[in-house]
Amino acid sequence: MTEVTGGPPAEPGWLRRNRWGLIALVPALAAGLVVPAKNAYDTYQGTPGGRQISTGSGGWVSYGAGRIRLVEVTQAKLKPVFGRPPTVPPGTTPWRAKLLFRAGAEAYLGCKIELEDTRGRRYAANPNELNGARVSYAGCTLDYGATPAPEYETEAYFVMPAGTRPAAVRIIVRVLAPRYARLTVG
Amino acid sequence: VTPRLGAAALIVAALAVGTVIESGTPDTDTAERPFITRGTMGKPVDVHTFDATVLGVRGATKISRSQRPTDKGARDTGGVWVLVRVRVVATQTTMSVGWAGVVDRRGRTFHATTRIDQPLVASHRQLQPGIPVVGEVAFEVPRDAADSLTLQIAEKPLDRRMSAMAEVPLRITKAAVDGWVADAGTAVLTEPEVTR
Repeated sequence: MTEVTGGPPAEPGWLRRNRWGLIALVPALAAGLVVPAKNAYDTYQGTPGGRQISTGSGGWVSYGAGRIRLVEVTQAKLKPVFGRPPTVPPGTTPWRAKLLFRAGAEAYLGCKIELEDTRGRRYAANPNELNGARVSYAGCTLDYGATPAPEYETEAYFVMPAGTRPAAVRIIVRVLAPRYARLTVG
Repeated sequence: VTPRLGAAALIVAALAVGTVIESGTPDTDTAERPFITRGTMGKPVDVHTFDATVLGVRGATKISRSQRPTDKGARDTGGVWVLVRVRVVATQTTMSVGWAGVVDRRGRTFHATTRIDQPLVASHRQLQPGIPVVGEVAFEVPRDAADSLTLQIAEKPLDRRMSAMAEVPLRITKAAVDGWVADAGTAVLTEPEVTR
């Protein structure tokens, strides 16, 4: 007579029964997190002003394919227009920043130049308040028609409320986002 | 049988919870509406990126950008022109007023007119931080709506979703509107100027 030992085979546990589902859950959760994380990263990368490049040795900043130096920031002395001294709106002061570039002709095409005050407020160059004054339109490239040179200088004009002091000049080029150059006023 | 019934009950419960969450979630228009700060005429409204103060309102049936008598640029209307005088000052960075509109009692929104060059809005004027600028914005509205307008202004010109917006009800009486309509004169839109 054969002896029968034990009953029917034991039922596998919940983890064992669902192991493939649990294994598949890991990449599924990861994929669900990757897409929003990548979207957030892309937004950060495409938004200028996120990562500051500060002044290095000799006052030069390496930014993109070139270098920039802030020569000076002074109160602007506006030239007469048709023999008359230009006026600026009361309560404002015009400022001029002189910048030196060592860059290719198109390294900083479409740049934005801002003057930052000691409170962190940022003023765009070429303000409406200086319409009619004989000031150059600020850019970060060689003037149109100028002889190509490895180093060139530009001037940018701003207005700030009277009594406000400049602290830095910012150069922002959209294609170099999120980086921007910040050159402190000496 | 019992585990299957339990699983079915869990599925039904999950669907019920999902339905409750779905029905309670605001739609896209509501979730992405502008951040409106409401104020009153004569007082600054701080919307973080700029301050706006409504200084006054006037109206006419003809407007122009020029005072020259030979100017042929005057624009008339079958409704009424409402000119809102606003003082705007940027607070942090250079910006411009990209959009302005008025909402009437029926919820209709009238954008700042494009029938004439607007000197202050539509990003035509840069505002430097801390330098206040005063100017006018022109709206063309039906006469029966002119006494129920609320001004809205925002920095973004087109996509105003989740943007900062100032909102100020305008104090315009029916008598004032009747006076504007009766006056045949042309109102000249004032140019923006820096103020203290």
